[in-house]
Amino acid sequence: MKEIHSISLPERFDFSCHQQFTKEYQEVLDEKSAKTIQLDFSRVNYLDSSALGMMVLLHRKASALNIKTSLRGARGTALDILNMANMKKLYQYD
Amino acid sequence: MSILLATIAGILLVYFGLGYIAVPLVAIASWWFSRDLSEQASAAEDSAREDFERQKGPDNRHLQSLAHEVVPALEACEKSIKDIHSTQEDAITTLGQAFERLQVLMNRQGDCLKALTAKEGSGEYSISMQDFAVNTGVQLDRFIKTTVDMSASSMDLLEKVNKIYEAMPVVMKALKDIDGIASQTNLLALNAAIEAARAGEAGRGFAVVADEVRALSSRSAQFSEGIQKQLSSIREQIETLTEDVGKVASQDISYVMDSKKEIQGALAAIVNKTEADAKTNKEVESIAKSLEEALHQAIRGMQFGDINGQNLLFIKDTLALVHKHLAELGQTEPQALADQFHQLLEQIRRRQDGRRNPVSSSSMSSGDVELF
Repeated sequence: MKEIHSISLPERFDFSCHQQFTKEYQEVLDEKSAKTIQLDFSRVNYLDSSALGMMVLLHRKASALNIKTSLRGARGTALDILNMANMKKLYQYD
Repeated sequence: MSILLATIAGILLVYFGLGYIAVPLVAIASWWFSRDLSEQASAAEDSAREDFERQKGPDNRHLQSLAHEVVPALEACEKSIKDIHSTQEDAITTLGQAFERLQVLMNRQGDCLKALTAKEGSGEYSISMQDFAVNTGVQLDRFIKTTVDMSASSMDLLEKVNKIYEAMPVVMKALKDIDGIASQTNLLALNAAIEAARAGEAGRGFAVVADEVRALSSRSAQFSEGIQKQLSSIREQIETLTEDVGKVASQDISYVMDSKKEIQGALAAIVNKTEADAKTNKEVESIAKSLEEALHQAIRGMQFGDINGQNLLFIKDTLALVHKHLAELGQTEPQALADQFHQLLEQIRRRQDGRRNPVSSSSMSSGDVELF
């Protein structure tokens, strides 16, 4: 079991990423292959409510399995939206 | 003789509009006159008669002609002083009224400013504006939270539907297996029918059974087809559902963020405005105080117009007395004249004593009298 599994997010983090994103984190959850799932926002410059919904869902599922969630590299509008949605409560900012 | 010259010089100064220089001059002259008179009074009393007798001739004529010259000048001076006095009275009255009006206006302005800056007014307004902004911010936060929660639930729902969708191929494969069995059964039934035909009359009953088995296989094939059609339809519906849920879950929320920023800006502006208002209030208060002080100073300054007016009256009366007695100069005996001047001097002195204030109050700060 490794420390961190990092998921790199695309420029537009929205509903179209749903399947890919869910598949990637579900594998980690199913196999409990990491202590922390980290979302890499360094490329993201747009995210909508479905992205926030996916993040909330991931947090719910991960914390049920005692896996931590964190994010890194958020900036500009993306960071503003994350702050506005109070993601600090769910995700540790690395 | 020097007293006469000083008086004439004073009179001339007044005549040429230099009254304020003349005032002290005349005062000095009066004093000098009185001193001379009192010092010389007794000596004059003894020698006056014989002096008068001796100098009566030419000196008397000189004095009379001099008096004739001086009297009109004195009259002009008196008129000038009277004019100055009345002009000054008018000016003081106008000034007084103006100050009174100024004070009334200032009080009204003060009331207006108080109404404008009263704490119940502006304070409550800015507080309610602040409350409004804060409340709107809280509502927005709640809205964002609801939106995100709804998105999360939609995503959860979508994943569950997806699991059904993913189970679909397994069911399809099972149905395909059933199809295979059905076609094999069909084939078997066909073979059985051929074999039954070859057996002839003995196989007739078996042929019936083979036909029934064939019919069953084709029925199961039909069932499988029906189920597969249903499943395809369900798959299409799930795809539509996924699309719809995706639309609901994907909301652009950047506008909410913009609104939140605007609210924060408005809040900051309200706080700034409240602080600026408080600062302006203080400044206005201090200005009002200074204005009131300045007004009081102006009123105090006006008091000196009153003092000057009394001085002018005093000079006018003095001039009138001098004028009156100068006309009689040379016609009466020196002793009688001296007595008259003595009396005049006494009058002046009494008057001076009687209204000590106009002459003595010469300092601005000493008089703090309210005119209104």
